[in-house]
Amino acid sequence: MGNKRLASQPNNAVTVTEASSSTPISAILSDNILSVREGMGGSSDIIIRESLFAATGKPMAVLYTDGLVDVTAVNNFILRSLMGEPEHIPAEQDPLEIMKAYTLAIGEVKQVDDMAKVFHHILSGDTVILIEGSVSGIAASTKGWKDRGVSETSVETVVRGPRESFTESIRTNTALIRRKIKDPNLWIETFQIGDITKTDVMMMYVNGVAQPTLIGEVRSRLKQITIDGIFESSNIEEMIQDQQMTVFPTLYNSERPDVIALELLHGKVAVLVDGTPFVLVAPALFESFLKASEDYYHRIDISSLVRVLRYIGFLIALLAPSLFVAITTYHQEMVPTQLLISLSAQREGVPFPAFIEALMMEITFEVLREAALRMPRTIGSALSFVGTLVIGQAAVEAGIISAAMVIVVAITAICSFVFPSYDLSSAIRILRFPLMALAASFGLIGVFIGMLLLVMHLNSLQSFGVPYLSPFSPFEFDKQKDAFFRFPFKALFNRIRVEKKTR
Amino acid sequence: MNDGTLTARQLMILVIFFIIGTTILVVPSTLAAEAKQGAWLLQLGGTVAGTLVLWFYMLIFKRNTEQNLFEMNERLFGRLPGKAVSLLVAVLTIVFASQVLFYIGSFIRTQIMPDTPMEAIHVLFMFAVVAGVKFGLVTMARTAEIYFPWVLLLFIFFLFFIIPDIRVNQLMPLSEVEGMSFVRGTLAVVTYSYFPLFITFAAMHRSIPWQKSMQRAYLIGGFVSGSMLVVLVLVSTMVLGPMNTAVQVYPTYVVARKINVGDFLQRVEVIVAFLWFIVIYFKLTLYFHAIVTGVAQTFGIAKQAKSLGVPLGLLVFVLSLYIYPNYVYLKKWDTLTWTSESLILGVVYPSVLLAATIVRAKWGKKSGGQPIDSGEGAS
Amino acid sequence: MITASILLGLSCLVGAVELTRLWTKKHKRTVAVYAAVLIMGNAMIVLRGLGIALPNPADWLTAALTPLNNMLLHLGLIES
Repeated sequence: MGNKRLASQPNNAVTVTEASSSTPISAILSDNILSVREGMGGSSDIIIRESLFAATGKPMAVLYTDGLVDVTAVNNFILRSLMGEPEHIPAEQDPLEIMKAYTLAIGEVKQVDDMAKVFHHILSGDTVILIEGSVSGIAASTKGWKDRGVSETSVETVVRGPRESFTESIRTNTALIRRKIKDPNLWIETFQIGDITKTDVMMMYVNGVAQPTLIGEVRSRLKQITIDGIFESSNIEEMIQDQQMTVFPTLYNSERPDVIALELLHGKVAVLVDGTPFVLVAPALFESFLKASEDYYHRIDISSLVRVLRYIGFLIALLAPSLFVAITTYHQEMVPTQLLISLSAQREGVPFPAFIEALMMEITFEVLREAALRMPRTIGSALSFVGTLVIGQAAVEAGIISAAMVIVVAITAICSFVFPSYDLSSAIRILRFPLMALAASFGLIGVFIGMLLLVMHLNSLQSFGVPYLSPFSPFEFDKQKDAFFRFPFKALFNRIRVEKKTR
Repeated sequence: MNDGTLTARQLMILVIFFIIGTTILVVPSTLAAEAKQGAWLLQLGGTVAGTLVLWFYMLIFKRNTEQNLFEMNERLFGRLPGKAVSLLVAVLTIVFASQVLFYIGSFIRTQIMPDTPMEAIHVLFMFAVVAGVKFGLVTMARTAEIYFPWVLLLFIFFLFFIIPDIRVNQLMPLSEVEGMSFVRGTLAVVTYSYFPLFITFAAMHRSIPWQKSMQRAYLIGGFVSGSMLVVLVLVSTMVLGPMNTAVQVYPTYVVARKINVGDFLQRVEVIVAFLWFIVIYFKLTLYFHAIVTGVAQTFGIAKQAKSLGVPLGLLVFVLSLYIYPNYVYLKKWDTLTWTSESLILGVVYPSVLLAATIVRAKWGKKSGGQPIDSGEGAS
Repeated sequence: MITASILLGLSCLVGAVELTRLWTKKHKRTVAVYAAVLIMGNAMIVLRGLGIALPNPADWLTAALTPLNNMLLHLGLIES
């Protein structure tokens, strides 16, 4: 099925796919009504209200989808105004012009010229008005479906800071961002991605702060997506991220308007997808995943320390099992004598080598974690709490695992939640296992080599042209203000922009 | 992203890592054998001399911008003779690389993990080296940049915790160093640390834009690393005593072993060993980069240099298993043959190149060559 | 022996993958050099696994540089 995209102008243009039914609107009203009915297979939620246009007396039809429109608006502002007797009309005019200029009391109106657009607008929640004798129609914006409503985010909670989160409706989301940034330079570009879903995807950025090269890059990547359906921003993420083989995410996502607004001020580009509250941010560097918006809402000292804690947590989550396995297997001399005695006492009755123990515990924990996600809420927390405790305790007493191993795995698990990004903790979950294998085969040397390879891999990644480990790796001294520690705002908010390296 | 150029900072860090490289393990004992408690003076002399040597190399680099060593060979000596020289340099570097691999392998084997077979350790390390070269020079430089604070941290940690064991009287009597001894010691330092730098860094010459900041970083790197080594030699002498230092195979490691803080922080020499691993890894990777670039350039496949990583890595690996049949051979080779060929590669060869460059410059542009940047005035 | 065969197998595996990739990209000369060095390396491993002593390039260097060595010794620049 050929899918061509028309050239998109920067401001508020709508890109429309040419479906096979790009037939023009017929001048005969009944033909149009018939083709709409047939095109939709007689779906009962498509309401076609035929009536007479009071101003010219010609037949007209008002088409909308029940459930997607605000019915009150349709009734009051469209039907009533079009069917009511107008006060003062100049004669002999294009009925559409009359509607638009005199009678139609709706804010956003667009002209539609072919059936494909008619379908698109009906299915988007607009009301389409067709009139006998005219080959164009009007689409009036009357969107009003049931929304979840702006509520508190469940995934990214804060102690202090706004609690709003995005909803599944893209217009609400853009509004939430507009409330944070009231600058006219906050621009939105709209796309429709997904041949069958025709999902609205919008790109937001602050003109003048975001680099034009970055904007152009995001735009071109969005435009070349060809796929049947887009349901979540992760679908988009997968298709526009740099094509490199890595477990690390190169696009950041958040549910919270203040986070996104902050990133926009940093010169990044946000991608909103209709139908999901998770908004993408490009480019995303390694340090983005270890920052939380809370850092900016608390005092400097605690924010800086918590940030350092996060980095330490990251290292622990990644390395703890490997280090434990390496030291207890190969380098026992490193452990203080007292501890060594109790450790070996524990491991006395355990039949498995440290690596197998660690592997079993880690896999068990991963299974528990996934199961906890799927369980219904009522059973969920009780089961996981009791389950983990019981399993851990029982296993230790049965002599299958040593208590120290349970502690290590528990610390690892807790540390992996210290940083806010789920994507990054997934990456760590995966990487933990090869590191454990290296530790089990080569001890600390293996861990060293593993980390070396990891660091090199991270250095070779880029996100939309920016090296992934900036600002650490090509060391930019002035960017350090926001990387590890959080310096006072006076030092920070002078346009921290994400730069692309140029030759 | 991968512009293909290094920053000044990265250059400095690579120089530091390269110079500290294997030296850190081995040279203190040679110097102690030579001058007993005056060993640190030898290292100091070596640092100064070495930095001058680096400056000398820079003259060649500046005059031949945009070309790496092997292209320089071809340009200055003619195509075929140039290729022959390049191949010779590459093959020699293969030998050096396998020696470095042997050093780190035997260090790990004897001190840290005696039960693991030599082949396994060598393979592991070589794998990481090949991977490093395949990732590319820029990625490697960035990795070095990231590891640098850790190296500094470990170094300071090491020094800090060894302070209780320092006995300054072991440094007495000072300046009892006779002339020839001093010369020998300085020569040893320069041949070990500074001379090999020429072929290695010249091989990546393309990636280095030689502005003032780069030049400064480069020289600072040479000096800083030498100074770190001076401190290490001092510490080693003061903790173990000159006799003991001279006798040990890995004197600095033995010093690290002595770290004992409140009966809790002991046996942490492995952590200090990480320092050695990092610097040696980068030295080895830089050597390997030179090898791969050289071989590729010789056979005219410069763009695909990275692909040669695996087979050449295999070669270096195999060589490393038997390049030093035993310790006596190692000591003898390192003092005799290594010094000779290091002098050739580090003094004679660069001088010839410099002379050839100047000669060419005087004859103006020649066909088949690029416009020559004759640097700023006479050397 | 075991290590030798494992290494051999691995290097051939990697070699096969890389060579096919290079061949499809028409880098014939690289394939040649790669194959040559690979064969050399593998031969050395096999010979070593069989216990045959391999020539040591360090020895060649020593032989080639003997005159210089002697001169240095004579000058007192190095001591054995």
